[in-house]
Amino acid sequence: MNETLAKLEKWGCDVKGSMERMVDDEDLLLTCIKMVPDDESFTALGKALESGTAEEAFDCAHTIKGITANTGVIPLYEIVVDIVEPLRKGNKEGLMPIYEKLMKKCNELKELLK
Amino acid sequence: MAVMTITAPQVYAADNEVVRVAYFNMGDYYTVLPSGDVDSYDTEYLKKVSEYTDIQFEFVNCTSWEQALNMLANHEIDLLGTMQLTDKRAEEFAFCTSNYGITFAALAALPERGYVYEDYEQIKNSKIGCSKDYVRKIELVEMLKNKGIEPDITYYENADQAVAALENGEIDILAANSHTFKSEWTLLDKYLYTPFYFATWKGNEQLTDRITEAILKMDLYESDYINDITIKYLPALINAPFSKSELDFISQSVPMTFYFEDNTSPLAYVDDNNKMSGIIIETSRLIAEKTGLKLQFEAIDYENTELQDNEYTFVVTQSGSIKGKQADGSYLTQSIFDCEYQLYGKIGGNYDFASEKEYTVAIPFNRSAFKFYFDEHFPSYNIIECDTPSECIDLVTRGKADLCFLNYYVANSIIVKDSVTNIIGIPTISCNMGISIKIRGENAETIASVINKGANLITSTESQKLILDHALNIVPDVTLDYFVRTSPVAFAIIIIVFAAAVTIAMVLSIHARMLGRQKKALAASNKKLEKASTAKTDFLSRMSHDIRTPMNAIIGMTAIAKNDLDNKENVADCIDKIDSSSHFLLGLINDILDMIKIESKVIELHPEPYLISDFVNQLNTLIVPLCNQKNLTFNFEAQDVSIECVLLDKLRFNQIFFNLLSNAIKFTPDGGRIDFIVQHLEVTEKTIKKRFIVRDTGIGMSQEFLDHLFEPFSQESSAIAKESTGTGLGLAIVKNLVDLMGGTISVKSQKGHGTEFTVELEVEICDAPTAEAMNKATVPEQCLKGRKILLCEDHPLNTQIAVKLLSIQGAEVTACENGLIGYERFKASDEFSYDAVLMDIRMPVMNGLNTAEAIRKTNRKDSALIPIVAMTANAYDEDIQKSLKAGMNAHLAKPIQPEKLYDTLYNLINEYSINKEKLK
Repeated sequence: MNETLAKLEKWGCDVKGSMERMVDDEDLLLTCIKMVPDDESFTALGKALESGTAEEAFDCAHTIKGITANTGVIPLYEIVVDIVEPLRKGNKEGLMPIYEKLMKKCNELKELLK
Repeated sequence: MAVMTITAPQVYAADNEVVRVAYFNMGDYYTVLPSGDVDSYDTEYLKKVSEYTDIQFEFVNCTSWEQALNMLANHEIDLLGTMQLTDKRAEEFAFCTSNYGITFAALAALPERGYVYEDYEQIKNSKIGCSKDYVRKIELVEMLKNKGIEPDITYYENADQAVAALENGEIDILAANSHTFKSEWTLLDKYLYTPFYFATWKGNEQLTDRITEAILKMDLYESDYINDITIKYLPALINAPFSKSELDFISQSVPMTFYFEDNTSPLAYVDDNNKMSGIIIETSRLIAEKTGLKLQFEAIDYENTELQDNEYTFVVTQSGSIKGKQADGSYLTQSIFDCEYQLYGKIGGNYDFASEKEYTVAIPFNRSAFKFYFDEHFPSYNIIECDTPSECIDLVTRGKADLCFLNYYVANSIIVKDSVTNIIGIPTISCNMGISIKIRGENAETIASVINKGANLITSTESQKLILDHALNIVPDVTLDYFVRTSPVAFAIIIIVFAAAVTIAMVLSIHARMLGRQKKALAASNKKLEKASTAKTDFLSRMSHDIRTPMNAIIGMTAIAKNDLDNKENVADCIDKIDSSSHFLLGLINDILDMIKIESKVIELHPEPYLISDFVNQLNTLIVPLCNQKNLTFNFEAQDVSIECVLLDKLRFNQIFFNLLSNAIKFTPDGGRIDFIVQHLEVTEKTIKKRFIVRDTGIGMSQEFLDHLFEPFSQESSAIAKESTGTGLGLAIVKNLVDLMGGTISVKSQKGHGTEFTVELEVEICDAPTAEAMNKATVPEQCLKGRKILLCEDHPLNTQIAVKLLSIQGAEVTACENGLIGYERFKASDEFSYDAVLMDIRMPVMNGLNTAEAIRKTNRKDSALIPIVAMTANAYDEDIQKSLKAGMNAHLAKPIQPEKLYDTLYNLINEYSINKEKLK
């Protein structure tokens, strides 16, 4: 297995499952995972939580949920689920701490990928 | 002139053909609703014509009849309804060759003038007026002369002026055609029925030809629809208003009592509130409602009831027999309810109806029409009269009579409710009869006439609803599979269509095979074969009955829902009933298919490694909830689970035990206990012999019944079975499957104490399969080769993955970053060039739901059928519903599983390829 992927697996990513979804294409998986932390939805989510509507925030969180699930980036996926569900019900309050946790993990991922 | 155009309620795509239809001021014939839509007999009629022709109709206000004729002559409109055919008009206009309605020449007066129907003394001294162009003025004069009235008629310049004259009192009576009347006017006489037509301008005959073709088809296939709109929009046509003597009688409010038998459920019976109820009772109540008669209902006791004044009873009559005045001076009403009567015999009884055998036929008391029927068709048969229909069936069951003749609904109700297993309808010997009321006394003629008029006003929808309300209890409850599947309502319709098609195909196939066999049997004159053939006939006719009941419910409920779309509660209720009936039907079909396969030995077992733990999981998800629902204790004991995997046909193995377990649950009252015990008998190196015991503390079975337990359609009569009946095929299937697997099945049971089934099977031991082997592909490699797929997905990452997944299988993908772009691409593509659309739901600009809807609404040949598959991280049921509602075919949850994606697309595209050939 590719070294980076091995590291990611250790960090908590579902590399095995994602490889199945990417029909065993390691390069594709890596390309996709690299796209995750740079996704603009992360910053957009922060802005929406701060000053936007719950619906805007939901759109961003939902996108993050989708891409993290697709790429098997479980450590981020697990956090974002906790943001998506309250937002689905239109509830935006008290989500900032979870968002910060999400961003912290996101930076960890960036580091790993360097 | 200002022409106001109003679009008919049904809106079509703009580039469809539009035909301009006239409407104008004419009594109450055309009504403009607040929404601007025109409501009329013509609107409703043309709605159906649209379905048959694809022509879109647009109603144009022509203000008056004369103006409408002018506009038609000048091609300003294309179609004019309510036209009576005269030679002069036929020269000027092109007429449809079939009429679409009937009108009659009639006389009317304002209600405040106190006229009543057919009171010629009053008419004699009245001033009559009509339009000078009135097409029936010659017949009017003739009619008046025939009644001894010297006509004094004022002619007006046009129809509007004649109406004005009536309304301002210049004349007392207006002569015109009935459809031009206002509903509040009093109808005095109708004297000449004439058909009316649609006509167009000369040179536009292709329009009238197409409409004529639709009319002919509608006469054939839509007679109920036409009947219903006629009753709704032209009630006077069906029914004469009450005459003076009739009105006098109704206004006296004389309470009348109708006596019916109370043992003929669902026709007439005493309900839980101790009141007479049933199809005939409710039909009579409708008549009372429509006429103002005061009716009450009592159960007749032939020994003690002596009918007093104003008390009447029913007579079953052969259709076509003479109603009205009878030899004894009484009057028979027309039939208030028609239905089928059938001969019932014993299953396996070797009847020969062609010979002059002297069969004994049991019939209920007071059915002289039955005697006439047998006199005519089977004069050699001996008739025995019984007190009740149940007794008739009982006599046949006990061999005291060979056959019985009963109402279809009544017989079916007894067979299902009492779980009679050995009586069967003989479909070839049946006839339609009606139920009339016999009226005696001085007002008999008047009362019979009022009842007839009321009966005529009952629509087919109303009577269908009554049948379903009361006969629906014949539909048995659904069994195991259906409790566990909470089926989305939207699927109901699909299932119905599927079920209907499969049912018909199957019945035909069984029938065809049987006919083949019957022929052979006769040729060989082999008695044994003949017996087998009789058994099959029994099977087929029993089956037809079982299929017909839920099918009737489905068709009827659909019709009711269609006619009452605004009443959500009612529609929901209908859909629930459709849902349960269609599931029952589906279950029945599955069972029949299995029986056919087993019987023709085409069933094959597909043994594969089966983990014991998988089976236990299935028990937990399917059986345990059912037990919990009924508050039953479920106890599963398995000896020595060290052998974790065996070779078995999973589907068939599950079928055996889920059938036995669901039966146990069904026949065990609340609070009981179900044991499922697995024991090891012998273990060799390669095989293991297991014993499975399914034991319940339920109602048990009698010894007589145990002997027939594994025969098709066996169901013992019992209090519980009344509420929970199945198809009667389950145990026959179980027995056959166990035989097929080389095992044995035995049963012990004691009535009131419970039942114990023991199944013994010898199976091969195998290694547990590896995870990879379990995930092996079910679709061929390169399964999407050459397929063109339109992908709507806004997120680049997801797009990249989806494109990769699809191209690996050989698909060509067009990726669009939002729904609008996808929609534009689709619209711009050649028809049928894309094979499928893969649709994300949440997208900017235009979301997936709207895009799918837009694609479906596009006016091109492929828009309705192209597979659209939703992809979203929302795996909630509600989301799936939304995407299905938007017209998508399937829903994939993200993250996308390649196998699932390939499987879904492969199957949908294959199906689409077959269908699109038909559309091209």
